[in-house]
Amino acid sequence: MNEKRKWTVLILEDERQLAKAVREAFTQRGFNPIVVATAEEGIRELENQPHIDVVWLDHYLLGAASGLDFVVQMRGRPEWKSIPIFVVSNTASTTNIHSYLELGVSNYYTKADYDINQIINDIGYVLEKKVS
Amino acid sequence: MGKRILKQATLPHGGILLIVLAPILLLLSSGGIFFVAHWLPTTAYAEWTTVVMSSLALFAAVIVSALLFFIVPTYLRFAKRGEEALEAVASGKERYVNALIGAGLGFWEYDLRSGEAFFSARMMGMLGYPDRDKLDRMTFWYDSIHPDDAEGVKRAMEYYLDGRTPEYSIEYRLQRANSEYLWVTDRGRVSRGPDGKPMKLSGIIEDLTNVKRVQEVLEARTNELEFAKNKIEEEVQNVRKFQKAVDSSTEAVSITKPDGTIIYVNPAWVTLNGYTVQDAIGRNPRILKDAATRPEVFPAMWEKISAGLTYHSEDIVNKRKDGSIYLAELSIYPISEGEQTLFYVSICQDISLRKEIDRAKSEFVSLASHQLRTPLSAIRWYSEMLLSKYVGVLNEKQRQYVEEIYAGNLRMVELVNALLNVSRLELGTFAIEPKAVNLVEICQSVLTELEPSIAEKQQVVERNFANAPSVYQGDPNLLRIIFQNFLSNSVKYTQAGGTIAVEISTYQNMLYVRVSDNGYGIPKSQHTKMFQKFFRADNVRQKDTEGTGLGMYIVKAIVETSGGQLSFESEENKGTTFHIFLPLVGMPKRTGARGLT
Repeated sequence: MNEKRKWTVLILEDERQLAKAVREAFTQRGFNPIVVATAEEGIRELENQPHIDVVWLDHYLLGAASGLDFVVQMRGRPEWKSIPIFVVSNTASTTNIHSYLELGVSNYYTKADYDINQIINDIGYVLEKKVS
Repeated sequence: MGKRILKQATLPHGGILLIVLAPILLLLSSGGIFFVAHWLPTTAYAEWTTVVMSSLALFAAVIVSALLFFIVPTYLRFAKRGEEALEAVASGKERYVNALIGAGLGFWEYDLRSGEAFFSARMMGMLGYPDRDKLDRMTFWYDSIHPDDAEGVKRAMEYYLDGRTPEYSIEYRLQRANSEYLWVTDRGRVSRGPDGKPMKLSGIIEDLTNVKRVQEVLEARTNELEFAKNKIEEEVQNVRKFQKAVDSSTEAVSITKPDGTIIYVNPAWVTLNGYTVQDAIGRNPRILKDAATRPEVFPAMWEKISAGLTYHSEDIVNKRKDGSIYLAELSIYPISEGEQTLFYVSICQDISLRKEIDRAKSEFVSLASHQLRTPLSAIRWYSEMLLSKYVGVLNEKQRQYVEEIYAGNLRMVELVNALLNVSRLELGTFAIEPKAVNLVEICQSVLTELEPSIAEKQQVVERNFANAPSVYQGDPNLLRIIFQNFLSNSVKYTQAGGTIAVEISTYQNMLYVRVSDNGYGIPKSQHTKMFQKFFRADNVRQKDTEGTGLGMYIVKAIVETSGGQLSFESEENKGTTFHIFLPLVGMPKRTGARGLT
């Protein structure tokens, strides 16, 4: 069995309660989580951190920019194009979900409808597949 | 004429003398001759007998001849005059008769004393009898008068004869030979005797059939006109009523000619748009057009109304006279007669407030979804993490309690989702996004989710997918909601060991899904409430407190909005069968702000 590398996950979540739960759940599952509350911070982290493997993204964020703006910015940078994005939001409208999927995010989840571990399993699966 | 001629010719003198003297002379001379012949021979002058006789005869002959010679020519002349006079009278009379005939007039004459009457050939012809003059009794005429008119005619004649009326002239009906009645006008004049008593009455009769016919036609026309006038007045009243109704409508109504020229606006229109009636009449509704209206709205509008169809839009932005704008709901009804469009009736309403409320409602739904789901997510995830042993193993009681929290939270999530779905259905903001789906897969995945409950209750699931279409154009989320609701209900409301059957196939041009069970069933008395919001059957409410009472309501709305139909049969303690029909061609695409979850 291969030695599992520690994945780095960038979490954009403005709800303190949820952000904490997500960070802890990822930590428990052996990820290296970085949590930010605005799209701006997210971009900064992407620029500073040499290796972010995956993004967990809420639609509504603190600040003016939404998750959608963040994805647009990410997709504008070739070096970030291959980073899988998982949108986890309670509120995005159908049109927004469409926009996300058109921009090539990996999946969309309604928070209240999923256990964290289901989502982390999906993320892990996608990352494993990417490596192999 | 005759009299005048006779006046010119004086009666010949000596005429009477001749007529009287000639025979006397002849008589005297023949008497003298006779006497001479007998007496003279007895006298001494017997030998003169012959001479005397001859002389007497000669004398008489000379006298008579002289009389004849002088008088006869005069008589001949007089006779000729008389003949001329007679001829003139005859031709004069003929002229009158011709004139009467030519004028279509019949002539009559009554002898008031004898009761005899003369009717001219023309009059007889008029009445349909042989075309000959007729002498008859007055009763012939009187009996021919229409019973309704007889009294009047009699009176008119009496009044005239009494001198109470200056003339005898009356219209009445006379019966013809064929029993039909003929309208005539009768004008007469009396001839009185030396004593001043009326002797004869004569007159002319004119056939009024044509006149009467014209009169009747005129009368009929007059009646028609009267009727039309009444009708028009009635219509005018109606129109006034409608105008009043339209005038007092709270919705802005305008009427335009086919070329768009405004010919009417009601007070509500004036109030809404700030233009006066005078401002508006003769202008084009474009005066209200604001640049904020999407440009494609107008071609779509013209396409509809020029095809004679009603146009309806809530996408119009109108500008008032003062420049302020409002959102308008506009309906245009083309009013046509046959192929021709007469005018367009537009009804307009300011829906700014309603739109605002709609937006507020949508925002509320969105907000509620966010605000309610976020804490629910927190509860879900933290209880999940407690149960996941990463932070240490809970003791048995703690694990049970957290599991209850987790389960309770799941119910709450379901309820919030159901309420959100109901809001979206009622706001009309839910979307249908069809794509090629595998119905069997969706159904199987729902059954897999339900597997723990099915296993726990040891229920049997019969799957009948043999005739299922391999691909269906449907919204996977909505189809999942449909399967989820029916199957989870069946599992929930069927006793342990019961059987649940699901079939996917086609029926005519519909997709057919059947979900049946042999479970608790629904009491007959509550069948009508089956699809009402928050309805839960009495018998299951006692067995199970969970359930929102929203599932069937949502499913029905989805199926019907998708052009499908839903029905069921159920008997308490026997089971329930649901029949779901959806268009086989697929669910229709429907744009909306949100899908259902």
